[in-house]
Amino acid sequence: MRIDISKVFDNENYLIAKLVQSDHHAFEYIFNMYYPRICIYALQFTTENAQAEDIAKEAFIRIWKAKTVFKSIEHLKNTLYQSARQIATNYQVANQRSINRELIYQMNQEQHEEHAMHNIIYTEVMSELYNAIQKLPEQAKNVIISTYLEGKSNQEVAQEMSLSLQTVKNYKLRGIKQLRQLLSSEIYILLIATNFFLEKN
Amino acid sequence: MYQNQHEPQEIGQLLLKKINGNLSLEDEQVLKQWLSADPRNQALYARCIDPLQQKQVYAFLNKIDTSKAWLEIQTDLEITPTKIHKSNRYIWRYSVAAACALLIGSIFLWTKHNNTLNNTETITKLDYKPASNKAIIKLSNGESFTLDNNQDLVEVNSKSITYSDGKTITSTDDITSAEINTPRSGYYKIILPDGTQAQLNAESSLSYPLTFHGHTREVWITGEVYFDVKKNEKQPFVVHTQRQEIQVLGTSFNVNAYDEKNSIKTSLIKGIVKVANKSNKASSSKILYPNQQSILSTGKILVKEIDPKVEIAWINGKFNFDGKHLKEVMLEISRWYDIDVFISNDVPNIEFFGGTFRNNNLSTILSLLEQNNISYTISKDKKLYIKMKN
Repeated sequence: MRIDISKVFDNENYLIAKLVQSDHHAFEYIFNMYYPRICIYALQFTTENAQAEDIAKEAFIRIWKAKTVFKSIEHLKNTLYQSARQIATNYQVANQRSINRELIYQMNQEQHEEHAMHNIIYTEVMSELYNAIQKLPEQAKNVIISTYLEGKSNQEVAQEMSLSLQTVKNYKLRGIKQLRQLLSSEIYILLIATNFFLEKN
Repeated sequence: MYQNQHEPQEIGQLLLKKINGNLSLEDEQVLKQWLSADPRNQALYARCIDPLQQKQVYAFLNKIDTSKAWLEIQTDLEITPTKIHKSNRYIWRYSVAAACALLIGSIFLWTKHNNTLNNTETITKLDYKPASNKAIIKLSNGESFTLDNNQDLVEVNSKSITYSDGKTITSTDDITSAEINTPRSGYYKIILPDGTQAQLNAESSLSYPLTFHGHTREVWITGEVYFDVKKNEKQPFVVHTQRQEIQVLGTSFNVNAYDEKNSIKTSLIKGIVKVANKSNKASSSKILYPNQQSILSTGKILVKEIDPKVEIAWINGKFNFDGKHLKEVMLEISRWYDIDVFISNDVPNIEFFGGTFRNNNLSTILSLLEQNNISYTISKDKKLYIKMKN
């Protein structure tokens, strides 16, 4: 038998119980797990990376201070998304008063008329993709990033990494296979509660 | 209103499958239907499968420093590191600490059949707080002082014993040496006369002269101590345990001599040290470089590469149980929470890994055992019983 002591918070009931007690270790666990994702979400409301991070931080501070009794992690996560959106909207109002008003207004029109739920789906998809890529073994990860994300050819990647063309192909195939496993629906669950945002829109 | 024909969760999964080229025919049908339902769906689809977007997100996420962000919001969250203190400062007698130092944590193995556990009154709700700043200092003139548990660092030199906030306990005019003892469930930081800092883990001791005369600076320890030695090439620093001696110039390292009879572990973080077996100095000494650990067991010194994060987790207020087994983990728990642990013989010697914070209450760690089919009971007289759930 093996016990992972750092997984003490992986038990949802325990995590929720600790959050109710305002246990800051439990909250740190939540922060580590969801901060990057809330940043991605916030980035859809702003053009500045730093501002996206500020929005995400504020969202976490807000839910900590509100001392909401969360029923589930899903509930907590949705509250995070909701807070981030409200904070982002406030930022936007402030932004629109600035000189970039015209530009930002246009972007908002184009990008953010979409359904609020779409921004969450986008965030979840992108975050899961990132997490899955991060879990790949080093070489396979580099090949996948270069070929898929950066659009390089196998030949180019082979030269850059000083590998044979065949080795690159092998890494790529293995990487894709592993990605499929990592992203397979059995182990991957999108924690989106449908009802929360639906009420609002 | 959102058309709730397709669950967002399902759509998310389909999009991931699409990105990954893993759509079944059936999936493709569902996706097509969803796409045609709303032009905004098409926009979302386009964004998700756009490699440029994926690349941007990837770059952005790579740049995000979550631990830094966590530190940055500490003040806003108002959760500056909390110290757990008991309001009534009770006096530790030196003899008690000395007796504890001999125990070096205690675990016992028991058989379910011949144990009266089921008859004794035990309280499951009982919990114990983690270790806090506790230590006793004994001077060469026989005087001893209990250190304040609202302080965490004390400077003990040939002039005085003074806390980091400037408060002086006593002057040390006629004193030649000092011995600092931490009890079980206690720890403390000491500044030596040469400016070296020593951090004592629970159930440990450090003794040294208040003036370092001669060619070397010599100190004696038991238990576990982390040193940050002030550099002085003319006067090397020497750490003695019963069986081992460590020579250093200026460096940071950790000595774990809890189980001195069987093994002493010396882990080097910075600088260079020479580790020697006292009974056979000439033939068995080893030089350590950063991120190396020496293990002195029966006469032999082995050297291996280590992850300093694991070895000195305790310095940063964490437990790290990577690769440790139940008994070893329970010894640490026993020292940290000042509790005797009784392990039933039906509990396998479970392997642990990962880390957690040391300022959690005992129940936090025990809840993990519970999640793994092991039950526990804590008695009023500080005994913890562990057995398999029936």
